[in-house]
Amino acid sequence: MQTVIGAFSDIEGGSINGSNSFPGFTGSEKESSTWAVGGRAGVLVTPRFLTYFDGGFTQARFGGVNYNFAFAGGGASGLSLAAQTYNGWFLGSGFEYAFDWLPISGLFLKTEYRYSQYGGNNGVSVPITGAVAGIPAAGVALNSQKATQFISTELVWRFNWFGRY
Amino acid sequence: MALPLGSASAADLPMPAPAYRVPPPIPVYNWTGCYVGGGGGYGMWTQNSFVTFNGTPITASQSNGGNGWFGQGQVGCDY
Repeated sequence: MQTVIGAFSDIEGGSINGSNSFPGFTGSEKESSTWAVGGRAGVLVTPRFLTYFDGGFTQARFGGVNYNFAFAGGGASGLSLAAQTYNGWFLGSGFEYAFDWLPISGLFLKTEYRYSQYGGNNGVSVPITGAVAGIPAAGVALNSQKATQFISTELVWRFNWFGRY
Repeated sequence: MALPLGSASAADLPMPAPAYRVPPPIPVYNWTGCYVGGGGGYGMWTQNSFVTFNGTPITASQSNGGNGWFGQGQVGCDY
């Protein structure tokens, strides 16, 4: 059974919108981009079908948060959280398929599931800034640990530079 | 012993050309070398968070998250 090992880097951009709240306050938070660098190892189940595992380092960019009061009709509280980049790691698994029904050689389709975790064991503390009713939020921070699960499909064009054959 | 000159045998009959077919090419997929890729997918994130004051937790941990679509670009090399 033939094995394939490799190294790669990728970048993801989007608007993965969610919420960020703590007692009394609520806001919306958006994951806007991630990038990753890592390695993979796989086996060719058939000459045209590869299954693999991968893993590596990743960073994720989350936008800033403006908190509202968490009661019906509650407006802006005056508190906010700055945009932040978080460091983490990822593990994934996927499969890749060589297809030849286009008159271009070296085309593959790849689908991957990836789990990423950001913030380490202790989380990352980001200062909450602003003031509520004139009382500044000095010394107040939000500690968070973030995890993502992505499923993606890619069209790959392999031009065989530095290949084995 | 008579020489076989002039005598005919079945081996001398003209044979039809052997039927000859080019075997279909065996497809070869080259999995090594460098590549570029593009695509996208769907993702979700979750977070566990709590508020601290001068480093001491002052709220219980909250669980929040979201989900959405993303686009992806990639470069890599395999061996």
